[in-house]
Amino acid sequence: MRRYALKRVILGIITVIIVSMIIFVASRLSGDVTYLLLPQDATKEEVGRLRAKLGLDKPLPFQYLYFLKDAVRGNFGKSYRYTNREAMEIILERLPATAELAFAAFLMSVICGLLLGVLSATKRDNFLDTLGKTFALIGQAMPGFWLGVMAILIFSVKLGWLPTSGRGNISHLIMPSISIAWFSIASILRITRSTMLDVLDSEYIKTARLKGNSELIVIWKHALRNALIPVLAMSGIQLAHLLGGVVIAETIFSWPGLGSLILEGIYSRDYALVQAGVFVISIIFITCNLAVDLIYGVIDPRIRYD
Amino acid sequence: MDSKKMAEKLAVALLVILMATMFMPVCGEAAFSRNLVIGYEGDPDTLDMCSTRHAPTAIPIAANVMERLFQITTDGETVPGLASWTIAPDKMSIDFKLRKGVKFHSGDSLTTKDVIFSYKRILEKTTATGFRWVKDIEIIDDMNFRVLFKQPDVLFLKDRSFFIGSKSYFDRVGEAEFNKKVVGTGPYRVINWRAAEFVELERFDDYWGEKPEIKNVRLHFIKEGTTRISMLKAGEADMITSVPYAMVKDLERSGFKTIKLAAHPTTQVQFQFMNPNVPWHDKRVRLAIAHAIDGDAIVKSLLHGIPARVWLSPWELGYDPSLKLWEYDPKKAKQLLAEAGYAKGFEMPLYYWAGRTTGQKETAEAVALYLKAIGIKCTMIGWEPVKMIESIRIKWHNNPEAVHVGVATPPIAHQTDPVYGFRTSYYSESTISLYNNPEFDKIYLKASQEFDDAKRAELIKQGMRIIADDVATIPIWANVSVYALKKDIDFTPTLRAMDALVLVKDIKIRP
Amino acid sequence: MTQKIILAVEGLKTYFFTRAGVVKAVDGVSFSVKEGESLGIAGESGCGKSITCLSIVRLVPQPAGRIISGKILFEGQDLLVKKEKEMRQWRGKRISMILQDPLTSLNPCYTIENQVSEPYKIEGLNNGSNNIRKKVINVLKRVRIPSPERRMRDYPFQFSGGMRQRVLAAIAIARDPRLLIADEPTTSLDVTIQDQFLRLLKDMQQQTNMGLVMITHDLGIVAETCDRVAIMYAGKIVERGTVENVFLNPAHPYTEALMEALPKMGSKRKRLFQIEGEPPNLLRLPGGCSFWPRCHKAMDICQTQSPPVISLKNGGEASCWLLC
Repeated sequence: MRRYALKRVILGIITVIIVSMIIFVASRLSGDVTYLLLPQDATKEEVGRLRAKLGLDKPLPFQYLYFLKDAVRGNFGKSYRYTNREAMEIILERLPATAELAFAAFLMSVICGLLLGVLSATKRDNFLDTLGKTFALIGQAMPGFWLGVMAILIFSVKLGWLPTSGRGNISHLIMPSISIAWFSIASILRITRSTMLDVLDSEYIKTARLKGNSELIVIWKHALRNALIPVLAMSGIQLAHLLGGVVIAETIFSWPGLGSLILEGIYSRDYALVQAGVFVISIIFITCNLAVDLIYGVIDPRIRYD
Repeated sequence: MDSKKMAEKLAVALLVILMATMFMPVCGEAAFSRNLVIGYEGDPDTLDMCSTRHAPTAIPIAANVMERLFQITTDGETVPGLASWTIAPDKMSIDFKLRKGVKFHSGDSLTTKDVIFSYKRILEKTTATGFRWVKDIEIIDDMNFRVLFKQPDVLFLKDRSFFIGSKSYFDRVGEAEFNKKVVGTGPYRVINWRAAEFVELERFDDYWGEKPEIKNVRLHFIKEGTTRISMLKAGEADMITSVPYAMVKDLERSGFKTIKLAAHPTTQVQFQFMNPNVPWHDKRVRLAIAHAIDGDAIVKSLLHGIPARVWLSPWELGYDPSLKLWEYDPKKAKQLLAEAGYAKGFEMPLYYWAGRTTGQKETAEAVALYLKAIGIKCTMIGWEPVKMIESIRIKWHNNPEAVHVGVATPPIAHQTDPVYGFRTSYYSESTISLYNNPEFDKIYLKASQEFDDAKRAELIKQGMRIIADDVATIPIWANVSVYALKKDIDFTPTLRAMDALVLVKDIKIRP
Repeated sequence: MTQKIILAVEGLKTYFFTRAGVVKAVDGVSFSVKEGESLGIAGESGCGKSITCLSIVRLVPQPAGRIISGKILFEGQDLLVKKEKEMRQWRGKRISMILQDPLTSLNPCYTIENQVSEPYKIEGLNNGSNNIRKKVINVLKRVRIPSPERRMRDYPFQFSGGMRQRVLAAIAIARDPRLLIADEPTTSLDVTIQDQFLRLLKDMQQQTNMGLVMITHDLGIVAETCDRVAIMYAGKIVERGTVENVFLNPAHPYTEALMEALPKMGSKRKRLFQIEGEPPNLLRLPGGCSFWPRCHKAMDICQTQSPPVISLKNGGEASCWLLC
């Protein structure tokens, strides 16, 4: 188990480094940010002065080395878009908001997806199963953007039950996380359902029943655990989708998170901000995947002893 | 490892995390007693106007907190703010006298030290084109200072960027805190600023001017137009800025007031016609294009009738009622084309700014359709701002081999003074100008040094005529910023900005 | 000594309703098992042996499979009228079954201890997990698993096929059932292990006097371990009786052929005897007696009418027109 974990950690670190390199090069190759930081009719001298001040007149490898020198100490540079502030500081400031949203959405999608998937599989061809399948279809067909806007219209404007936007207590969290989670719920539901159906035909399920176990134990203890493995694999992919989908919810619900921040950074060619942001997100992503891999080991003992 | 125990532990851990999330710290809503809530579409980079690099987003908020030496009213007039002034006869310097008894939110008094501090900070941190012709600022005494110019510059008094911050405060708290808790002389002080979420302002009771009515206001940063509207409809906001044109009628029908403020920019079809080998080098072709586009229809159907169609608005200096936009006349357009030898039409690139400026792509598409009707085939090329700016400066500016026609928004109308538009967009030395006419340049140079309003007005009229006669640009629509408010709120804008300016002191609640 | 009949199956019919048609997997099967007795159910693959036993415990694969009619009298009570919830009172407690494939019959995610404790947990024992643990160790000892204290913390994949089969046996006898059904328990084991396991089953049976139903296609196992045998063909029992009688004096042509097919020591035959033809497609059974296409002694009536059950002089039964 230790070797398994160690290998994954090292792979993760390498990935983060490569990603940051790619971002560094790509963002600088995509156009000169100085134009965005000056009035349009700035003279050539003014542009040159600012460029030198920002260190952008040096060749790319030099820029990267300067960046690395500071980055290892946690300094990713000053943001262009958010004047006078350290890029990493802004990112870390907004991190909890995104984490809260992504986590809530992830939890919701895994729990609901699993529950509905199991129900759908065990009450096969029943009313509940049809309901589950329809729910899944809607979730995968509707764009998250549309869901979010409709949710605000219905629950905030018409009914006044929930606040339209912003971050605060749990009532602020409900609509944004559902609008992101729905798609994931659908995917997890489908895969849970199909895996459960497979598992329920297994011989060991028969053995479990032959012992006289209640149906609850057969499904929730014996079947579900075996069905979890492909579901977990899918969760890893869902996490990626969630991290991306967070941007949409952040925009519509004015959620002060990382996704919209990095997007803003990209629009403004704020290299430092984008760099710091992508760095943090890639670490989160890799950590989550690592966690998923480790949970595999817990659920399926065969993987542990590999 | 007993899997059951592990599962139990995991479940408990998850439950704990869930509970923690639920009771996560709230944003201090309970402590704040709401008096007014405004949904604003931007997200200021900083509230310190002496160091902002994104003034259009920051000014609307920060102008409540910091102030300029002078104010520019919605009629384009410059009136004294923190200072009054006298212009030297040779126009090479202006003497300013600070208002007595002005206090900063930090308690410090306003003196010329603060002016120098702010001037230096603006120079260092931003690139103040308003200071381009300033040679230096001399302190005469505590209350008086002199601005020396390299050459007379009437636009200095029309500049939007000379805000005053407190040197004493800065010396006391340092850069980081200065930026976090911004201090100015304005009618409102900052209570709480949460980046990307909101800023809370409270009335400054030691303000030198007329005390505003609203005591507390919270401005939420809501990027998404539909969300702002929902906030208003749900009763969460009393007022919102930048209402999308498509939603204006709907809000009016739902019982909200809308206020329209003429703003920047003006979307135009701009020609670079220095190249003798392009069809639009011939004025008749440009004129044909001007007649081929039905601007009124574009405004009515694409933009819901909200923007204005003007060269300059009536309240602007140099407004010429006899200078009219071209009539929509496709027959005449075809005729002109034939005269110029292009009866069969020709192909033309039509650039536009892709990205976040609203309406550009749609306008370009409409223009292309109109031109198709008279035989001109447009190839639409949408570039995003950085690429576009780069191309203008490097590829097309003053280049007799340039091939460029574009839908763009070079400043012209609704600026603090039309001369600003001249300087930025049409003066041949401006790095983003696509126009090169020595006649025009002469007029501009004279106007930029003409402090007499009446005389300057005449020069402006002449300059506009030259541009119009040359068909250097075809204005299609001038942006109008729309605010929506609850019926019991009154908002009378007194200052002009790019758009979406909200001076809270201009807001009153009707009893 | 009169032994009680613990299981009496009467006229059991279990059909599968598929899109291709109705599969009459079990078509009117009757037999009985006494305490302490072992009954073998033998026949070719697909003749309905397993489904018969799954029907007894009401675990026929749904929704395609359904028990159409019949009675399953266990200790006098008809299990077919019981509700599913009630059936759980019988499963594991009074009737147990060991499934065929030990490699897939244990849940890969839980330890042996966990899985073997379940019957006890269901029983309601829970005064401290130590109590259950002791019981688990005991039952594992009974099925002769070495070092059970240590090995019960292992996972199924760490056990060999033979050991897993023993674990399944342990699970099956944990609560001292009155009837144990073993579905081809040795098919996936090697010959040497087979022997051990069969002896284990016999010992367990002797210890508790439970009834044993052994499903198999291996007549050798029937001969060694069973007291009585039922021969199944195409969903029906064609002959029933004591092992001695059936083997030495087969009454039904199919049974005869089976006995003929058994390789004999010292036989001078060059080629093994083969029953001609193939087992019928259960979707398209031949009319009358299902065996007639392969029967040397088939008569006209065999093709059109199903033969009745005839009692034999030696106490057994057979279904064949030849006996009328």
